[in-house]
Amino acid sequence: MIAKLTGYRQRGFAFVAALMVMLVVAILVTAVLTMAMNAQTLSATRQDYTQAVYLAEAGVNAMISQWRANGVASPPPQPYQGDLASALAAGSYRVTWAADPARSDWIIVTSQGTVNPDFQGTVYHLARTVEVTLDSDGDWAWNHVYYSDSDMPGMEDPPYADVKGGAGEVDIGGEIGEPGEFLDHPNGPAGGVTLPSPMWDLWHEWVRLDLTCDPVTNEQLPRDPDGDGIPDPRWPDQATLPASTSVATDADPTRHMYWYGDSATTPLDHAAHAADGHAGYDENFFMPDWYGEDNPDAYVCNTSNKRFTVTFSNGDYFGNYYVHGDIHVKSRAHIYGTIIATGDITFYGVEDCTITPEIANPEDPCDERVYYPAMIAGADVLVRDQGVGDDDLRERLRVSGIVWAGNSYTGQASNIEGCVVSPSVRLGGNYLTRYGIMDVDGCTYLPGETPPPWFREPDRGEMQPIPRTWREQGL
Amino acid sequence: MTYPTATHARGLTLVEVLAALAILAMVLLPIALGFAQALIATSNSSITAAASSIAREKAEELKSKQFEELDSQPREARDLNPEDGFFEVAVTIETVRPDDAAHSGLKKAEVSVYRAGGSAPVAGITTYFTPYGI
Repeated sequence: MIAKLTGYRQRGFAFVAALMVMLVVAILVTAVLTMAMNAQTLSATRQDYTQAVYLAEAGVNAMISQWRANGVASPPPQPYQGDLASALAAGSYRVTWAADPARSDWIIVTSQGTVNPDFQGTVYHLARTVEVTLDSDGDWAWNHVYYSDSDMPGMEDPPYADVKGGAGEVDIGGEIGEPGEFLDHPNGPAGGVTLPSPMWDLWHEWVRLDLTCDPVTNEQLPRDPDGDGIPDPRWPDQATLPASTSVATDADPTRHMYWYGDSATTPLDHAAHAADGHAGYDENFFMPDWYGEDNPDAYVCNTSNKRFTVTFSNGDYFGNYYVHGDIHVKSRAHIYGTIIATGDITFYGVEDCTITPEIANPEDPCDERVYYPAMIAGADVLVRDQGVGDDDLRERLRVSGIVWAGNSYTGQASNIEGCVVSPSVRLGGNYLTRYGIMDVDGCTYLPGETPPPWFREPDRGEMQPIPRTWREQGL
Repeated sequence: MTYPTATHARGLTLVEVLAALAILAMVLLPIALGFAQALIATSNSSITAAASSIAREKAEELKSKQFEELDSQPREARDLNPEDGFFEVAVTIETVRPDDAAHSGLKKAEVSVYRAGGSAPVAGITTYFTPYGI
């Protein structure tokens, strides 16, 4: 009986055992299959993920390319998006950007790449976001160059843009719509490689290194402490500069430097900048050679803890003037050189006032019309209270050269034979500008295409074009 | 006295064997297919992962080049293990926007990785390059 029972149970147990073995095998196979499928999904996901990253980067690159093609002042509309299919899967990108609140010259770009549909049907709509920060090299790499162009309909030759009389003002910011004759050239320091940055830091550094400035005095000019009849070129704060013909050229034709301080002899050592037959403090490293002895430089140097206000009154001024502070130009001042201020350059109700940094270059006739920088201001260039209603008012101020304004340019009743480089431009009535593409005596000009020698010659300060560079901040 | 068990054992053995074989076949066939599919999936996973790495390596190689140097490349052997001879990679460069003075050129680059001799890519990367891009 026991044997019967045992045999019966053995047969039944074998069947159950077989079922259990098969079940275990089935479970194992299912597990292996699941793991294999998951591995396949994982590898496909990695492929999609990789492609999504590159799609996001593609979006950033396409946006940058489009932006550069438009000109820095004309970014493409947001969101910038497009499709980019590969042989394996369709894809797309979507790019947005915004100013970095921490740095105004930085732009945070966010790009999302999407693989859709997926690779091999395992993952759907995989997206990857790339965030980069764009910035422009150089503190003085601004966005806009405003100039006139003869290619515009109705423009005469030489090209000009004319804002007729009237009290109304025209704001020109990132969009050039009015008055219509103005263009925003992409060759601005921030957007192109043609027009270099004024390299403010370099100039500033040179002055700081080359001039030893004593504490400021408040003595009035002209000052002649040694009684030799030659006024010493010392400019106190709030000084009104005398015309340089009466001080520098007439008094001492070899002295081409003005400096600020009590030292009666030049503290300068310009041997490092000597070139082209010039030596010592005769070296005029801001000016091209052909300015020569007849056009001495004149500097107002800076001190680290003092800002100056220098006024140019009526008279003729030759050379370049560097002021750590503000420059105020009054009527009947004729400046044959470049005025540079770390602060503002202001003209309030001036008449018969000219700034002419151009001079004939016998070595290259085309350079006669080159517009060297006429004014460089770290903050604002203000031309105000010039009067309105009469077209002749524009001749109250004639500027023949490029104008750089680090913050804004406000023009009114003036004639600019050059272009304006500034983040913001506001034009009032009676404003005339001539510049752009022209062909005069076989010489073709573009804004900044023939920069001044001190932008080109290493001995005078190497001035390299500053392309806009894009710095990847993070992925 | 008869023993039913013995009678059943004799009469049912062949049937049981046949039935067992049939059941076993029905059970083992899906299991075998499952194993085969798992092997295929594992193989595909390895192929995709390796091909994807090769595509990414090639894309990074393109990124390190100057914009002007970017040009199409015919299929060439490329493997994680150089002696494998298992993959081939090809690059297609298409100029979307010619480079200009403002350096705003744009090129579309498509990296395709094939199994050696295969006609369809198993992995690939498509992206844009610009002179001053990332």
